[in-house]
Amino acid sequence: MKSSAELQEIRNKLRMEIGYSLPIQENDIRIVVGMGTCGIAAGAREVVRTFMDEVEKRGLEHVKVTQSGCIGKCDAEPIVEVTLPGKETVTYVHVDPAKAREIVASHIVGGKAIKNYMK
Amino acid sequence: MVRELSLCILDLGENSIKSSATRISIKIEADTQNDFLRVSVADNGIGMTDEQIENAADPFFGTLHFGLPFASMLCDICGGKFGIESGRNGTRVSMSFRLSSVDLPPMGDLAQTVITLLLGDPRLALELSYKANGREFTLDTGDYGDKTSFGVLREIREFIKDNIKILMEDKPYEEFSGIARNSQ
Repeated sequence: MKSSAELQEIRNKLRMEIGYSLPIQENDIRIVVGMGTCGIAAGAREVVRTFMDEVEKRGLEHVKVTQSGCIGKCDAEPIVEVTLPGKETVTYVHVDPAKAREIVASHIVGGKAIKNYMK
Repeated sequence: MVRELSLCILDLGENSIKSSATRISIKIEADTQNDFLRVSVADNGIGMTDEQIENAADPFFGTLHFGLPFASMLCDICGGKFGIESGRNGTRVSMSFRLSSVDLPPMGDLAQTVITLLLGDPRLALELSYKANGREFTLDTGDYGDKTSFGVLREIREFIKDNIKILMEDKPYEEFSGIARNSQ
């Protein structure tokens, strides 16, 4: 029988090996773009590109752009989840580069989620 | 369906990331004289079982999946071949196409495909080799710094774009591709 500290260590090690997850800090804003086959086919790569460009252009720190796989709502792709610190995750559907720019301006910078683009 | 070949490569790369790969090697070779285009994506992930390989082109085998079926179908309609080799040391998906096929989509934004993969896992060691009619350029992301920095990712994107431009100086890829040719 291993101690809980040992188990925790194994867990951390396996987590490192199995898959990458961005180290998230408490005050980080997280943007997650679905990058399954459905997302890719619907234009998720261009959406990711827009988020990266906007975040860099505006010099936004503490904004992490990351990816997820297919979540089973393929008809709503590209799907983007935005999580502000201490707030509930907001899910945007049918996102395109123009909507992505609006999301950055209104939600990420302004703190105001865009209701029209949610499901 | 598959608008850009680079989207197909992105899909295969995402599969590699999901299979715990730490290295991905993308090789592209175009030869107008012999009328072929070869694309392969190899990784050092957990590999596939024989049963999975056998049924790779069937989207309804196991969990619903479309990446490999699309890739396989694209090879079929472009007069090429599709193959998977997989073992404990990883998986290699190889595709070939007839360059003159009217159904061959353009390469599209390969640079964005590469940095989207790096965004998915900044620890990835990603190699890209692109040959066209005997000319070649290679990229090894090991030569770059912190891949969580958007500045570094943009540098990689520019490097790929510039090199493709040089590579395609006399023969742009679009010239190889049926769809682009037909839409002109």
